[in-house]
Amino acid sequence: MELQDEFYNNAQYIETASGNKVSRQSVLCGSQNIVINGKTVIMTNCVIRGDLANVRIGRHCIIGKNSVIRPAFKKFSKGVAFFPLHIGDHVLIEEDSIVNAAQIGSFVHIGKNCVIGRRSVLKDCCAIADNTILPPESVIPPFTLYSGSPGKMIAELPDCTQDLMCDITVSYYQHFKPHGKGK
Amino acid sequence: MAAQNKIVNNPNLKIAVGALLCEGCEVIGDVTIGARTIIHPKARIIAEAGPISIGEYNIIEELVTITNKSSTDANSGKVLIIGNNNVFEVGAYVEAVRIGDHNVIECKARVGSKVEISNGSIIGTGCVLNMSEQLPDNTVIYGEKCERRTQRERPPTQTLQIEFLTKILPNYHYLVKPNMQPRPTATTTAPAVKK
Amino acid sequence: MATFMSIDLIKYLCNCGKKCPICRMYLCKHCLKLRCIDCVQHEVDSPYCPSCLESMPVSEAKLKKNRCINCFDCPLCGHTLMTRATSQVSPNPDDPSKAVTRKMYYMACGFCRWSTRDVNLPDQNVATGNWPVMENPNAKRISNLLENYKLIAQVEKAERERKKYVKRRSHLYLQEKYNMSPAIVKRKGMASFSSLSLKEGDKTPDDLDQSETVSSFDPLPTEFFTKPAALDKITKLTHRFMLPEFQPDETSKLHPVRKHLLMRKSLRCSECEHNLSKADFNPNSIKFKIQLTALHWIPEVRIMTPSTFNLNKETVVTLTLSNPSVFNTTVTLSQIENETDTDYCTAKVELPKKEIVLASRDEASMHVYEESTATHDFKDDPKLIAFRKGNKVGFIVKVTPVVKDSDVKICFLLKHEFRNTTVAALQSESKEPEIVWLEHKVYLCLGTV
Repeated sequence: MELQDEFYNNAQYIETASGNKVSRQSVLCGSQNIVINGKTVIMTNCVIRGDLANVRIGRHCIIGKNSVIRPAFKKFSKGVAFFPLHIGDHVLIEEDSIVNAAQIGSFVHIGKNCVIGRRSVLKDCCAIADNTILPPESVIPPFTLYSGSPGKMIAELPDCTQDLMCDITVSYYQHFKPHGKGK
Repeated sequence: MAAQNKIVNNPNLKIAVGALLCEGCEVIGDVTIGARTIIHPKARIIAEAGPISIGEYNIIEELVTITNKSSTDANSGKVLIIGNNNVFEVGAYVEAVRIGDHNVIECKARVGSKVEISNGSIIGTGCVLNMSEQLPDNTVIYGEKCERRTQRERPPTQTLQIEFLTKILPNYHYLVKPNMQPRPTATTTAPAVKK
Repeated sequence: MATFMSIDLIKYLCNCGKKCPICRMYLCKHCLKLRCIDCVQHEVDSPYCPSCLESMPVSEAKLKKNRCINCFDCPLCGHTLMTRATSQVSPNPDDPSKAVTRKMYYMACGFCRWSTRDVNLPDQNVATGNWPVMENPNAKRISNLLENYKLIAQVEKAERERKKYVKRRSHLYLQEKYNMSPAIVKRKGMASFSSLSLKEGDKTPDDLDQSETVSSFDPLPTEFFTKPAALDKITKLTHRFMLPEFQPDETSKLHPVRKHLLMRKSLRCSECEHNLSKADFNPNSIKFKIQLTALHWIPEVRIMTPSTFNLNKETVVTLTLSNPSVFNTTVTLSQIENETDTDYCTAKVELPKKEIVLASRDEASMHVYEESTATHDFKDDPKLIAFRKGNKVGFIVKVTPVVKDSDVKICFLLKHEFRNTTVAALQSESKEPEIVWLEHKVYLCLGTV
């Protein structure tokens, strides 16, 4: 099935020169610490906590509605530090998910209503099924699908995951259109 | 930042000096916030059926909802008292009768309106509590089936995190000004209990 | 996408007779046949730990019983345990008046909060590698049995070989049964062949202790009836399964579980034994040394939009075809005449009769979105071709459902040009790649009536 067009209210989104589409109803705290590399969609009611630590999001990512991107903290003997959060390219995060990870690779798919625990590391080409809860400090190797609470590996992803995720994120961006344009 | 200034217009909001309430939160009704408590932006605290009193050294993260629903008529008007050193993680939803000290309500956990949480408990990520019950101390609830166990020690305090957040949050957020000297929690809530 | 879109709607028929989504298939470039994940040979390339992502050779993994040395799972919930450091004050051995602080480590679960201190495991003074390994109480018996069965296998094989003597058959059967690599089998085969008569006498398989049958059981202790059950102190079945060799029945006997290894696999065509997929050895890497996934070579069919169907009424459906090749590719679609199985075909379909030319895939233009840039010299019949965009073509088929109360399923034969670039490069550098026509049966599930 090809992706269907999804229309948004033009007034509700800001499109940057590099093609990012950011909802006005999202909350980007500490926006000077947030880098979004281009052609990324940030939908309504997202919260990105750049105030806690730097957040870098790659190209062609999709951050679904009501998601929270939040750098994780770690306690040391002398205090607390928030870890910068890096998200690779072609990453799809669906709605209502909370991402407390330390690192998310490229070509990663995070389903709806997931919680990615503190300082988790998601390698390239992995997927998290809907409603999965990854406890703190999980490591997700490439080409695996995790599901459940606590998240456990349930399947392997096909070898061509990279191509599939590229295709999805690019065509999602293409199908994410403002009202009244191109129709 | 498009802060809905509901907070500023709320005459019943009492914030102790040293507490940190970011603008962009929704605080409705009679709410008392104790010293050194940190409330992240986008949290919702709704004192609907009765007042809410939040103690000291608590962390309330974004998208947390704390409501006083006081579901049964007998409870109506009762204060929802939240003790000290509790952590409410992103997206937690709390109705609870009472919450003691040193508890952690993890991401997306839901605590129903008839639950009483004592001390040192952890309500795990995504767990739902909706029975009428009183949780014993140091209970851990975790997993898909909300399994329970008792841990040996209560969860560690987050004083270091509070210190850190107190330093950095004012650099990025507009804060609601405190309007109350610390430690009057007992006096403000006492009359409300009698109602 | 495998997890995002419904990929099960469109399946290609594999040579083994199974229908698979195209992303799970491979095209063998030597036999030019589709192979699905279930009809290829799987080989273990490198086992690795999913937590510390360290890979090791197969032999080493076998020695460690396919478990990681350094990573542990929580025996309660199965999540990976975290190592926590604490400082411990102990008196200085040289000067008792002074105290030294030492770092001590214990493991705790970040999910259910279980910790090694819960079961009174002593803290360790190094972070990893020093945790005690529990000895399997039956280890000796198991190794005895294993040795014995290896011996039996050897004797059996020798006997068989002696019978055939000249006609040597393949060891496949034995190899499967006793899990020996071909090299070992060959070596052992030769050795036993020459020295069999000497060896046979000195160790016979039956000098092993027989297992004893238990006929009487102790009666159920009365505590089960008299004492209230302390459910929180008793383990669940899942906990016992996690440690099958010890099967702890009380939570106080739980012990961290060594993490199971995962493995990187390589795939081979089952006919010509050429590699179809070989991943990089590094478990962090997503690169492949060899990857012949079908998606890179065969035009992919997709459904454009979901449609509603009425029984015996013609509905126009737009399907898309995308071309993965860097050449323009000609495609023809035709009916599968003898497909009458209503499990796979529940509707009549009118396909485009002319051949369709798919534009080549151009990586650079994939990221340009202006539709006006897509200028094509193809003379398209607008009745057949709905749109063109880059390497994608939308074409129209007319579907008439004929079976009541079922999903609308159609199938057709997809015939496309294929330029075998690798083989051509091997034969001669200058020549144009040879064009072959490949046929695939495609099965689609379009929706419900």
